[in-house]
Amino acid sequence: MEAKERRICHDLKTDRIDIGKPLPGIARLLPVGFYLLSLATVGLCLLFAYEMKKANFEKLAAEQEKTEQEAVSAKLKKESTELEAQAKKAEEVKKYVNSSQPVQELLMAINRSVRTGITMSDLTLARERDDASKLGFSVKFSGGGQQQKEDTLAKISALGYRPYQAEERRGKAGEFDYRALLLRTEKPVSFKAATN
Amino acid sequence: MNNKHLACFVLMMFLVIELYAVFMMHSKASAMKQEAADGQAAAETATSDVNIKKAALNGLKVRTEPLVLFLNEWDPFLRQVSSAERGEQLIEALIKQAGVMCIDRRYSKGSATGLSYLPGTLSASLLLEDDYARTLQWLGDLESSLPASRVMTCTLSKGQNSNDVRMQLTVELPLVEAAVAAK
Repeated sequence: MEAKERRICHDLKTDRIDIGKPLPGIARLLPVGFYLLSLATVGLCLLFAYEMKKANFEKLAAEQEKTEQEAVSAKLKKESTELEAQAKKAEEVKKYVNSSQPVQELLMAINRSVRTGITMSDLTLARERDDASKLGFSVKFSGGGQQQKEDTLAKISALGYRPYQAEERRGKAGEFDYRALLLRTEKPVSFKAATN
Repeated sequence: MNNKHLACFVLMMFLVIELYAVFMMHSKASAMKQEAADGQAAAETATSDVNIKKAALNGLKVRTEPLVLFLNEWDPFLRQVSSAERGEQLIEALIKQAGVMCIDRRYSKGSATGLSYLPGTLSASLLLEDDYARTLQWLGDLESSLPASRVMTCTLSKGQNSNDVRMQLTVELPLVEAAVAAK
């Protein structure tokens, strides 16, 4: 009986050489982590793709807005440039109009200022070539003198002209020469035709 | 390294690849968001620039309105005489219409109007002798029918008869043809 108990049945099979040692327990987390991370990757990639698409849409909209605003800006700049050019042209016209005021009224006023018994032998109005707004005025009276000069200048002033650099000369035979530069003090009228 | 180790290694590689993919997507999304923000900022700058320009243009319009109105009123008169021939015709017609006696007439082209967009002029030198009232009336008609005309010199002296006056006149008219030729 003892001999039977002592008989040990040995497993004669040897260990398989291609079976390695088991992995540590923590390695079991690897597949779990893999699945979880795969799911998270898919979710996050979808979220980021949505954000990219949204950002791309916003970028395109902003670019379109910028292009439209730049077009408006260019149009405004063009309009502004044209307006400035027009204003410059208008300033030139204003100067020209100021230098081309009608002289008929002035001539008639000067003629009407001549008193009875006094003769006006010569009357000249000449614009300066460099500055046509300056009107050279010279007149010769036979007789009259200071009072006649004052009457004539009063008529001239009533029409909005002021004499500058005046010179006068009296002759022996009662002749009286007067020269001056006339400058218009009033602004040019909106247009000449309205005055006629 | 046995097969189990190899499988772990492969799995870890997959994990790293997934993490890298997420990181790349995040970077791209961030870059795209930044581009969108930059684009929006640029659009806002452009809008602000437009608003500034609109305000400046409105100010300019207000400031230049009287000048532009003045120009619009005067421009047709300044462009009234298309050519030197036309200017001569107009002056001659006025002389004929008024019936004033013109002793001498000379026409020449010049270039000193003071208007850069209408640089040419017709200069007419006329010597008239007639009744005082008729002669001055003619001058008034000339200045009203050709408002852009500019009398450069005018000398009045006694005529041969008692009521007559001798008027030596130089008048300039801006010409459109010179401006057209200069373009």
